[in-house]
Amino acid sequence: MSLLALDDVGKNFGGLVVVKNLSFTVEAGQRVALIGPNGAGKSTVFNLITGVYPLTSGRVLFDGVDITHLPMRRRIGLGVARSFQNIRLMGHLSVVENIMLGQQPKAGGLAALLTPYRLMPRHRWIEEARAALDEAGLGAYADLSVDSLPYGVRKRVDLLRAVVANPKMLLLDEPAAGLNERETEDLHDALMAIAAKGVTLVVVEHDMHFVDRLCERVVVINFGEKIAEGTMAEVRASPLVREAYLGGDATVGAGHA
Amino acid sequence: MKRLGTVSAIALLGALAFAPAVQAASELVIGYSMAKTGPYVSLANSNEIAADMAVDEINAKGGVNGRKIKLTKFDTGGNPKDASAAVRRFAVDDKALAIVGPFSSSECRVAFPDGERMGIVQMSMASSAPGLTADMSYAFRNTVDEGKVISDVMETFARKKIPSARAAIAYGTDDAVSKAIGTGVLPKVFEQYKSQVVSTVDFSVKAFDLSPQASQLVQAKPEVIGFGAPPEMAIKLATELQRQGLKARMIAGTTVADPDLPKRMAPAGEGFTIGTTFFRDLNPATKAFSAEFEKRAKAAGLPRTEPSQMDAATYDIVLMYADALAKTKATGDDANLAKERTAIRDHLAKLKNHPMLEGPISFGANRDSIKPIYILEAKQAAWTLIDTHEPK
Amino acid sequence: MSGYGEAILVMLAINIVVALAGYLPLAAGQLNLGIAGFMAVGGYTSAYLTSAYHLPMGVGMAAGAAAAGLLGLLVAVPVLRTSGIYLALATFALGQVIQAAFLNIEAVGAAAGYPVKPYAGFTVVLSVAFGVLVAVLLLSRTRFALLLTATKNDPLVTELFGVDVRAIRVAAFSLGALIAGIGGALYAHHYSYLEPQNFNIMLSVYIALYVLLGGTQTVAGPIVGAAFFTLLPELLRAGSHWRFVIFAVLIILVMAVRPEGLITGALARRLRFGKRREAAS
Ligand SMILES: Nc1ncnc2c1ncn2[C@@H]1O[C@H](COP(=O)(O)OP(=O)(O)OP(=O)(O)O)[C@@H](O)[C@H]1O
Ligand SMILES: [Mg+2]
Repeated sequence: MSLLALDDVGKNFGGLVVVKNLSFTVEAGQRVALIGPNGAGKSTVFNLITGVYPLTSGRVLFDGVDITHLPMRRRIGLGVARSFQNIRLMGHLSVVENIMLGQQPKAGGLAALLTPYRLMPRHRWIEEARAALDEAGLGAYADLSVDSLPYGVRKRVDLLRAVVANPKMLLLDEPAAGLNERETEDLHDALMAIAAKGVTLVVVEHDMHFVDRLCERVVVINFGEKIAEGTMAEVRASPLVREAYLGGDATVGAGHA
Repeated sequence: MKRLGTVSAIALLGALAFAPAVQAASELVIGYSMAKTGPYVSLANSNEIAADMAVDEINAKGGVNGRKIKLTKFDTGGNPKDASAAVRRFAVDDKALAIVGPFSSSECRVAFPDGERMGIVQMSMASSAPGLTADMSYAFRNTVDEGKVISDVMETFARKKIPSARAAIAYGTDDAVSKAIGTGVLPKVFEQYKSQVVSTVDFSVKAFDLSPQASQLVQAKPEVIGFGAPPEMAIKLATELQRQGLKARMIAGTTVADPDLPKRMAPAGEGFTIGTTFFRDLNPATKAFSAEFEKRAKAAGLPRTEPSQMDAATYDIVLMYADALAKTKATGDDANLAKERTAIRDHLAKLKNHPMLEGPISFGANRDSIKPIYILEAKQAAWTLIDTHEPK
Repeated sequence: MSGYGEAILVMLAINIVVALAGYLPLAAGQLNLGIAGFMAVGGYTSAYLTSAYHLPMGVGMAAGAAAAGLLGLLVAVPVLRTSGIYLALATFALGQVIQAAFLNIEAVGAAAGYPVKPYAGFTVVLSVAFGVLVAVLLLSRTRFALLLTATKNDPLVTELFGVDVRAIRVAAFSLGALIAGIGGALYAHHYSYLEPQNFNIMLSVYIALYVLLGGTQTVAGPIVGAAFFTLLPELLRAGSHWRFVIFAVLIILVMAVRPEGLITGALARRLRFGKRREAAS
């Protein structure tokens, strides 16, 4: 049984068809890329999987459960976490507090909600958040306001927040966008380490070199429809994909050039 | 360091502002809770002139018990919370022997219980809402119940055979006093004088246009229209009634007793009849008071220079206090303060037909004053006295 | 303590309580412009129960708080369907409706007002206000407070992390209403008289201003805002007629210089950080 299965999924915004008859599956532990030109509907697919938008047609199954109509806040409990294309951290909160939001799914009920942890010395939550930051090499930023951080650091905090939620599957929307070479390299290592712990990765990314090194399998969509699927080498060979997206230069998606 | 500087500066300012005032022992202190700003400003801000006049007169004659009177003032802005703060300041910090004011019923309702707890007399110059001094002993009002004032107007009509068989009521709904007059006082008075109420109209006291109400009144053809709302609305209604050609007399109590009202209504409002507790041309004393008041009001740049009934009431409150201080041999010494404040209360409560500017004043069982009611009629842009009801 | 100082401290204490009532929903991003209405509910409930049924003042105040909180809970569900300016309008209307209702309830004197018998003096008012302050401060050290800020910052992401954003909003709104009820009860028992006019829209607007001027990011914000609005007009008393003009100009200046409020989270963090660094050196 696949971890994630999209079954004939469709999404219209008014008259605009954004996703059409889309089906694909992701196996547990896999590293899968979802690629396609700008406006192909990649982010929309993430939004459908996480429940941000309701589906127009079709079903989404996760871990054997039909989550098509599950409220979005319940999905992280099943193990679906994501990042956003534009970083969406809580600007008024510190880095530690942002990471603590990632702990929320496993924080517990009302009693946990009303525990004045900030008055308790070395409370577990803070210690855990700090430890996670230290491990990610972000310990120095722990008490700073998120707004004051450089872009690359914010991206890493954004990723860490999702990781801290202990998901089974991580949906990453353009994690390498805007990063320099060194940072991209670090991101690759970090994601490989996450995957090594058994987390399934689904990555939307325009950097084909990055995708090639990270992912075992690629799903290509164009105008909301799947046009190819397979290993990087396989999809690269597809004339449909060459025409729609990859073109001559196979390291960067055409839409992103 | 810089922050520390700012903080200590603020703390110092605060300490200065909120520290107890130091009092020169030679003066007898009276507190004055005034509504110099806020919603009552047009009626209340001239009271200060009358209060100062009274103090100046007393001190010019050597003060009381060989000591000068000192009036300490606090602007409440017409706000009950500030009126409460004023009582505390006068009673605790200023060691006042008694308090002039507060002005409005809203303020009295909050300040009177405070005065009761602290054992200090307050006397309002304007509050006339019924039943406000019940189960208290330090709360006085130098005002008369609206019901009594309006029924005196009707009594005068009966005496003078002014037609009043057909009556109408016009009142404001969104102001507690106006509404109480319109729904409580006027129906009762008309019933007492066997006037048939042929129409009742209401309006917002902020209404811009009263022509619909006026035309409703025109159709009902009343001979008198009982009115309960602030003076501004009286002008609007009178003007509109004249435009629509209704010749009925409007009558009202002290709420519209604005000395300038006939002038402001003219040429409308002819025959408008009110009851009030002060009339400037009554006698040499009231004329002298009015002249001096006018001089001071002009110097202060006030928009109205004619004294109102509340100005006169304020003046009399200060004089009554001075008299009480003299009769009870008050010293204002800390040790005897509580006793002396209570003696003032007991002295005032016993006053019977005490001759004052407004006429002979007594206090009833509820410590509201009993004093003459002057019935005034608007004639050619001025009030003229047509009748006087001496207290029985 | 001078009598006047005591009176001002009482005003300050009550204003801090109601500012905290406005702060909780604002911390979650909701502007409640009907706080005065919830104060009225708390004040009248306590006044009625203590006067008509001779319940002890503590019980009356608790009941007043509960009544206001419960009403908050009841209206939160429909009211919080709206957001932004529409939410402000809806709460504004709610405040008006509550005021109008008390103008017509004869059992509590309608327009003429209602005398309140048990008296809450300086010590009682300050103790209760202090209790509320401590409770809110405690709350601000919890995960609930974290989720309030997260909800305000980005409700979608907050929801994606498993939070029932709607429940958080309803809770913040109702808790705010409950605290407003306590503020109203303190007002009732200290000032001994309730009039519907006391709880007008201007009061609600002022309370919102306490919080907006002080800052919505930390509990210190509403406290500083309430202090600003209570103490400054008193300090300006010397200026007499001009004091409200000067005061208004000062408000505009503060909002121009610090649009996020006097106290921001970043400022609070910086102060804390500074302390830590000093301690380290
Ligand atoms: N909420 C929405 N309402 C209307 N149209 C939308 C909405 N969200 C997305 N779209 C449209 O759906 C299409 C797909 O958008 P989407 O963001 O999923 O593309 P994408 O593949 O992520 O592109 P990119 O690579 O640029 O991020 C676009 O044409 C977009 O304008
Ligand atoms: Mg996208």
